[in-house]
Amino acid sequence: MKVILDELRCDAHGVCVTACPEVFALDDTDDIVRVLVQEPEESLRDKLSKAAQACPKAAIKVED
Amino acid sequence: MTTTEHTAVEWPAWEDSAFYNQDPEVIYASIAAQRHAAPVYWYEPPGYPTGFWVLSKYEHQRFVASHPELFSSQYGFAIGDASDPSTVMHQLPEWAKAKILEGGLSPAETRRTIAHGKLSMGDPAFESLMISDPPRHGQIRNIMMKSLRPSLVRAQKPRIAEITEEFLGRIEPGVEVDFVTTIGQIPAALMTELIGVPRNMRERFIDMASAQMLAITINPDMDPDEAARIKARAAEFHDYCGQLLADRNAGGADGDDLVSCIARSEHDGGPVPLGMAISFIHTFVNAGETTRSLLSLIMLHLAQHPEQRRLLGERRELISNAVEETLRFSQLNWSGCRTATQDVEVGGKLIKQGDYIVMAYASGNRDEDVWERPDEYDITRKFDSDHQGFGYGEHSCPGALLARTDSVTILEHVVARFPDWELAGPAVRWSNPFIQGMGSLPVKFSR
Repeated sequence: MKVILDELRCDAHGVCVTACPEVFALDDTDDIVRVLVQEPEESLRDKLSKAAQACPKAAIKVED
Repeated sequence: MTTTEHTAVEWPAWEDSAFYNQDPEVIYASIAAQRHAAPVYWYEPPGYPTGFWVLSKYEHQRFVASHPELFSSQYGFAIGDASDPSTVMHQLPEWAKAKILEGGLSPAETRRTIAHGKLSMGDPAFESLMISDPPRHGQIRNIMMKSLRPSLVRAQKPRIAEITEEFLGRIEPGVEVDFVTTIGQIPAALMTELIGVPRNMRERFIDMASAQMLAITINPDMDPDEAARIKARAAEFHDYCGQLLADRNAGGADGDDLVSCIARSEHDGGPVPLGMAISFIHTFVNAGETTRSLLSLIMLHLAQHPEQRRLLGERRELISNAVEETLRFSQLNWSGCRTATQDVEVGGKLIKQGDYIVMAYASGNRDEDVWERPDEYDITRKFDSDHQGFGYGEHSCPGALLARTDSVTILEHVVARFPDWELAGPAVRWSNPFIQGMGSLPVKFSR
C-alpha cells in the first residue's frame, strides 16, 4: 500500500492529520502536509482511506 | 415554485431569491423533500432558456467536484449565469453584450459569456479563477496562494488576537450591540492588513470593495440606474487597486502582503495583469465578508441553543468544532455549478454534454447517508467527512484555513471575555440564490 500526496494541490488543511496521524503530519511552519510513512502497514488502510476521502482538495491517493 | 403529487412540501425554486429568504427550516424541508424523491433532478426554472440538473446527494457532489475533466467550470459558476440573457444584459460590459446579440452561441457558451462578462471588469482578455479548469486554474490560484501560505496564515494568530481584544474593549456587558457591525468587522479589517491597505484607508477601501461585489453579482431584478451607480463605484475600487500595485512595485514589494506577492509574481512570463490582481484583492475582501457571516451565524445558533452555549463555555476546545458544525448546518454559498464536458451518468440519470449542473451544497450538508441527525445543530458532532462549507476539490475555498483560523481565534477571545450572550432583537438574514449572510444580529453580552 502506497500513499501519494499531490503536493501542488495540498493546501495544508490538516484534515488528514486528524484522520491518520500515523502517516501525516503538519506543524505551524509547514506549507504542505508531510507524509511520514510512504508505504504504511495494512492495518492503517481504513484510517488512510478516511484521510483520502476527507481531504478537501482531493490531494491524497492510496495505491496498492 | 414547483409542486409534485408525491409530497405536500413544495420543492425548491433554486433560481429565486425569495426561496432563500424564507425561514431556514422551510428551506431545508423543501431541499430534503427533493433530495429524497429526486436526488438527481432536471429542473426548468420559469423564464430560463433551459433547465439544469440539481445534485442533492453529498456523494454525487463530491464526484462532480473531483472530476474537472468531466465537469468544467468554464461555462458558469452560479445559477444566475443560466438566466435569460435579455434579463441581465444591463449588467454586462459592451463586449459581452455584443457577443450575445450576435447570436449563434450554445447555452453553455451563453452562460460563459454572462459569467465571464460580469467578472471581466470590461476586459474581454480577463482570466478568472472562478471559471477556469486545471491546469490553468492551478497557475492562477497559486499566485494568490502565495500570500495564503499555511505558515503565514497560522502566524497571523497573535495579530488576530490583538485586533480582537481591541474591538472587544469597546463592548460593554449588558448593553445591546449589533454583532455584525462590531465584532463582525474584525475579519474584513484583518483582510485589509493582509492585502496591504494602509490603516487610514481601511473603511473607505471596504466600502469601495462592496460595490465591486454588487457589480459582479448577476441580479435580474436590479434597477438600471442602480447598476450604473455601482459600476462607477466599482471603477473607483479598480483605480485604487491599480495605485496600490504601482506603489508596491515602486517600493520593492518585499512583504508577505497580497499586493507585494502579486507584484513579485509572473503570469505567462510577464507581470500579473491588473484585472487579475484586482480580482484577487476583491476575493480577499469578500472572504472577510463571508467570515463575518460565519461568525454571526455561530453567535446566532449558540444564542438559540443555550445548552450548547454553556457547554462551549465549559469546554473551550469545542470552539473549532462549533465552527465546523455551523459551516455544515448553515451553508453560506448555497451551491456550486459545473458543465458536463461529455455524456456522463450520475445516480442513474444521463447527463448530456453541455448540460449545466448545480451541486446543492446545502443539501449535501444534510444528507442522511453522511450525517446522523442531519437537522440537529450539535457542536460535539464528529466529522468523519468534511462538510461542503468550503466546497471540494480544485475549486474549494482558497481561504478556508484563514477563515477557520480567524473564526476560532476570534471566538476564543469572545468566549473568554463574555462567556454568555443573548439575542436582543430579531436577527436579520439576507440571501440571494448564490450566497447568504447576516445583515444584523443584536446581542447583549454578559460576563
